[in-house]
Amino acid sequence: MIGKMYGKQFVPYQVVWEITLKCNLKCIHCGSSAGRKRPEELSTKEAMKLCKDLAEIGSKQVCLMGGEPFLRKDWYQLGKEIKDLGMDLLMISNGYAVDRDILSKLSRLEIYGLSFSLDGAESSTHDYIRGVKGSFDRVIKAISMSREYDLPITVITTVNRLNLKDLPRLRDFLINRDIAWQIQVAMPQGRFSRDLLISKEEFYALGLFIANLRRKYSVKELPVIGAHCFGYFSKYIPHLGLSKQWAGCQAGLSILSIKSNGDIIGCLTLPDDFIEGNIRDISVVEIWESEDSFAYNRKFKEDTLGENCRKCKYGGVCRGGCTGVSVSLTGEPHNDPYCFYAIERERGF
Amino acid sequence: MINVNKKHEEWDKLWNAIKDIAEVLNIRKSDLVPNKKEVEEQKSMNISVDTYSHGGYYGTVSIKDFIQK
Repeated sequence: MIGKMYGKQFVPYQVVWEITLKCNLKCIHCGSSAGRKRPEELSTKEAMKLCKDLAEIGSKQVCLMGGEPFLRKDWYQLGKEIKDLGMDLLMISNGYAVDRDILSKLSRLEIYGLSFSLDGAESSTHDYIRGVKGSFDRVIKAISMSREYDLPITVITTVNRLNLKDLPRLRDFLINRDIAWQIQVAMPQGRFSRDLLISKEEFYALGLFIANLRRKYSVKELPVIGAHCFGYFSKYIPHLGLSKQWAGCQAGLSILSIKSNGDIIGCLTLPDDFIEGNIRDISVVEIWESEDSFAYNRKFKEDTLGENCRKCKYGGVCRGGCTGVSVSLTGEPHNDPYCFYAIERERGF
Repeated sequence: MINVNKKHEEWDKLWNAIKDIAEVLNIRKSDLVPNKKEVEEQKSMNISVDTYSHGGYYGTVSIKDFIQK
């Protein structure tokens, strides 16, 4: 099926763009070890050209993130260009530096989605994970102010062993607030230490927690999803995303990611081995349309499934779960061990 | 034919494996009755990998994605 989709049939509908690696927080789970900006981040001129190229290859949504995207001085100019080219704009922020000027600009841009990272139900948890005292108060204030501007808000919670216990209180905070909730799992990449990774049992229980929220509360009361790291094909847990079913990792198929130095990669959670090229050497259009790009997904064959997935009856469709998780935990794609179905088989559920 | 005893046995095993964490997450065994029918219905659907609807989000979901679904 995938083999027949080569060429123009692959469209990077969604783009995730790290516009700077500069960050004002020091999160212990940061997969890209953000803090200082990269040595050769794209200039405004290069970034504006990139916006045009993305529109040319059919992108529909561009999500700007970091680091902390609002620390890049030309963020508004880039956001406006994205909008002027007819694409939806989304942004992910830690909320620390968000003020009324930023929110007013986002309102003018008619942003499609504004997401804030909230990793604890109280300052002690959130501030510890985020590495800066006062970051909890700042993000709560940013969320509160954003509501005054009627912006479409999402809260992203990245779960590790330290904040698992906070989830019921975060749920209580978010119910009936017209805020979406995206729950995802921290993986041992960048600064995140493997000893804070939740266990497979905790992962499974977290899946049931999200599934239970989706049964118990209407979308109006609590619009919640599990991110792409949750799945797949469980006997008991329905798919936790917005589509009806997991259809495999979309990196390089319908998703494209960009690092702040112009490196092109299928997903920002993947290590540098997966970089397909840099837009200073070759345009994003050529990278996307190259026959050799994103081979791990575009030229996927079932015999490349790793040992965790080789005997799975869903392997051909699932393609081994989340590539980022798989590479992070096993060093190879198509081998994601954090899989509900695999856990059920291992434990005899 | 569904082996009811086996199903219950599997479910008990699952609950025993996660009950401590479930308690932390404020979920009860009765909250977790497996909705197998729902899961099976999803699996029988045609799966498309060529669309924008692979999840409606990457990087972050927007609350507008929920409204549109």
